[in-house]
Amino acid sequence: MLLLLIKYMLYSQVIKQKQYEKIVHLLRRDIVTFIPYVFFLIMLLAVEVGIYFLLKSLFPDLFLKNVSLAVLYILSFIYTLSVWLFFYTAFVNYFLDMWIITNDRIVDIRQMGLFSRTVAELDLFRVQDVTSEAHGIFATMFDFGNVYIQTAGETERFTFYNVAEPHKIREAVIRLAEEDRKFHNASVMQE
Amino acid sequence: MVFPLYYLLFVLAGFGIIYAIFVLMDLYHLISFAEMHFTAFLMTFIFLGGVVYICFWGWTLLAPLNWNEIVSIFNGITFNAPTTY
Repeated sequence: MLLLLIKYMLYSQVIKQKQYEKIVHLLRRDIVTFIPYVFFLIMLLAVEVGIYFLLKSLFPDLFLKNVSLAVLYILSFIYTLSVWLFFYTAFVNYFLDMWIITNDRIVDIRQMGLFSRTVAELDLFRVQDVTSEAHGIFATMFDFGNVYIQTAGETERFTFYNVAEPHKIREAVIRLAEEDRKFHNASVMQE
Repeated sequence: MVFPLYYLLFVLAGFGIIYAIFVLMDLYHLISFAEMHFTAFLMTFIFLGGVVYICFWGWTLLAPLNWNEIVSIFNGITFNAPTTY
């Protein structure tokens, strides 16, 4: 059962990997881009502590009555659990946003909230133009940024958001696209 | 309106059900769409550990309260027409 689960959970199963296909890069947003969520979590919890001390100093009677205590405790309990879940959901969104580059295609998997998921694929031989960018102090310091992939005849671009080492990824995509184009042309010539 | 204080716990129970659904959705997504990964396990472990801790903290605060106390609110409000002048 566990082995079946492990097999089901492999990325090769997620993208329905073909026999001749190899996963070359598996990209996620850089871990640095998750740090603001940690600060946001700390801030939201600090707000709760702040409200507690504010109420205690302004309305000390609230903490003496059984009923008001029950309401306050239930509200703070619900708030804390919600903030904690928000943080975990942010992690799940971060973790499930990924771009898988194989020697045949690029798979763009985007998780947007709990109830929205988009999966798009792009054949590497269709890639025409690849652009990488790193804007800002943090992006330059920690070497993360966006990679834009333009295909022939399509206005829409494939974008890898905030991935680590965007310039190396651009070079890798160009190289893989070139190799796949050669392979594709050779197979077309054979036919 | 008069009701025992433990009626407030029904609100908490409703929230608990919705919360459980959201947590299960998150776990389902992780299991379905991601490979077994140390980071995912670690974060899930931290999250569930946090939930247990918050529940324990909530329990230590809520348990000592007298939940049988009768609450009486909005008693000054009436929808009946005045009968005496």
